[in-house]
Amino acid sequence: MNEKLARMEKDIRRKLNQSRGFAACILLLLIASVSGVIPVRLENPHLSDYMSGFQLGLLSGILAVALFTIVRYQKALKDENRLKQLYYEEHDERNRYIHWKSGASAVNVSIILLLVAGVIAGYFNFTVFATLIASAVVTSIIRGGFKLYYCRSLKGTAE
Amino acid sequence: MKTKIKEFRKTHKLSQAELADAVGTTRQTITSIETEKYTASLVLAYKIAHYFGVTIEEMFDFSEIEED
Repeated sequence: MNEKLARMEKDIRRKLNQSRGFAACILLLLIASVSGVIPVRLENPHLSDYMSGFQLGLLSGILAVALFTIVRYQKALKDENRLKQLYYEEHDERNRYIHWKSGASAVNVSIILLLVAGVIAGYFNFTVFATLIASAVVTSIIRGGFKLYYCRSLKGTAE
Repeated sequence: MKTKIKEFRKTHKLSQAELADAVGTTRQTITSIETEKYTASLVLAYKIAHYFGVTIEEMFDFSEIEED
């Protein structure tokens, strides 16, 4: 059981370090955004202000989620029961199945919606049309790439 | 898939949370298996059956699969 707990602790500690690294990157971006090191330069000054505010809000939200995750992992490392529960939740087969199923469905629906939105946008604005169609194509290529990868890595050898 | 997990749990006076902890999964997964909303993997099925000291065939009902 101690070996199992040690394995759990190692796994959660790795994720904690990853979360800390990610939060640090977001914090740097946030500081750069607020201090004007990376300014928003749009033609319309009102839109620039709006975009700055949007980025600030988005980065703050992402940072809040990262901090919540860090606190959750830190609490788990201090309490054996909490550590076990967190480990089981993160490695639970049903949760993984739900994660996989919802992810796969979300990608397919997203590609279709991007294509439909692109077609509609094409009647009004070429830049928006091109961006949406390019996003749909890139997402499809990434999806295809992952499918190919998993097909190959899960391929057995005929005997 | 039908299972006898609930019966075995009641006999051994185990809660879903206790069984989940014993086999390394979540209470929600045990609930889903008992209510036939989710089919356990081979590994989890073995762990559950082994915990109660029975075979997988004694714990899970494969008659529907055999009919197919």
